[in-house]
Amino acid sequence: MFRFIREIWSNFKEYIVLVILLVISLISLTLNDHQSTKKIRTFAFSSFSVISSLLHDYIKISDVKSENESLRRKNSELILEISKLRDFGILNSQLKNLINLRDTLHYKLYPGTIVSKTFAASQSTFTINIGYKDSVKVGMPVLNGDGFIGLVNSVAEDYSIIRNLHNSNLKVIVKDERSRFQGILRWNGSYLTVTNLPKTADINVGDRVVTSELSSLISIPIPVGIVKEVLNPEKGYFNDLIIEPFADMYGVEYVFVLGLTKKVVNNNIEMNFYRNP
Amino acid sequence: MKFEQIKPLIFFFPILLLQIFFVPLISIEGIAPDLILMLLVFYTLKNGQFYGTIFGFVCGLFFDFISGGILGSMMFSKTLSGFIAGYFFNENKTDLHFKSFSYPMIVLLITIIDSITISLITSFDINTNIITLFFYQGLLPGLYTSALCFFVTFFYPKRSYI
Repeated sequence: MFRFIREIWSNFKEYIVLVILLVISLISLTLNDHQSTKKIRTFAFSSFSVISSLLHDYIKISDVKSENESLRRKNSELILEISKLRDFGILNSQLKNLINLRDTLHYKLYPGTIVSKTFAASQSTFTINIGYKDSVKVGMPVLNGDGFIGLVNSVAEDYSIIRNLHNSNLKVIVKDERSRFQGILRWNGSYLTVTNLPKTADINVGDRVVTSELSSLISIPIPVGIVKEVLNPEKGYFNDLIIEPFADMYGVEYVFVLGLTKKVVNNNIEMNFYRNP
Repeated sequence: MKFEQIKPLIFFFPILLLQIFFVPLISIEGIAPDLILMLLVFYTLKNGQFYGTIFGFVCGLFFDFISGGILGSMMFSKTLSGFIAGYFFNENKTDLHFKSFSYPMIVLLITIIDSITISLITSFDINTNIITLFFYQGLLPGLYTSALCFFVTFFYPKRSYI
């Protein structure tokens, strides 16, 4: 018996090992949301991020000079913009007072630097140098001056991993800013798309797309991109859109984590609806 | 365990750092070479299919944990890649592989298989165009990676140190 097993092993060991390892990989795929898996991953990436951060700082020193110049230019542009916005702000508050509306929105922005990027075809992630010590939590939206970047996926003490718009597992409810039509935005490996919109949806090329308040994670409209193309407008029952993001996923270096978390009360109400049909 | 068998793991971490820091700088429109796959194919051609399968699994495991991607996706694809690369292993032709065009060609084939496997696991749905998938996520990264392999072919020492 032992000899038989040994013979099988020596003849087919490559295949046996392959099958075992592939099965382990497939099992791992199902354990992604397991608590202990998350803990191990948090530990692994936070340990690695320390080295990443050191290397990143070293590489970035060489870019500081040119970056300072462009920042100075941007600063002057922003000063002009601020004076304009201040005017609009005063006018806005006067108009709000007239109709008795109060501005109650105050959002915390946590600035972070991207210390490493992973360019997998459909699993692109960023690691940023702020974590739960800086009040970052899983699910918080991440953006920069141009627009929406992604969502915080895991958080360690000093580092966090962001699933960005080039990650096929990131799905966000978005809406057309003009027509208010809603859809689910996702990365299909080649481009950002909103699929299965009815033919009657009023959407034009060039429309701005923002995050929708319907989302349980992002309750404010953050600019995402513009409609670049409507696919197959003549065929089928549904339309698909190609969205061009405002934020450049390849060039982005500095981001802000928006201090928004899940709408717990809202979620509980939604869950009640399912619990008590 | 022989030192020869642990050596690739020692090379793996610097290559992983290069993959994360250097590769984004040379990526073109998101098309990036896969240095880890180059390392995997290199040591599979040196040590054989059994070794390549296990080494692929270990590389994928570390990469999955560190990158924050879907756990298991890289493990699956790299294990498969190591196994397939093992079919090109020939004890008598090891050096010949690295001194000729066969190493870049093998890497091209393996990268295409690897990229398509990852895409199928992580982002495949009914709307996916197979030709686009093959071209953008398989062929282009494959060509880029195999182009870099020519450096290995060019600088491969007459006497093996690595």
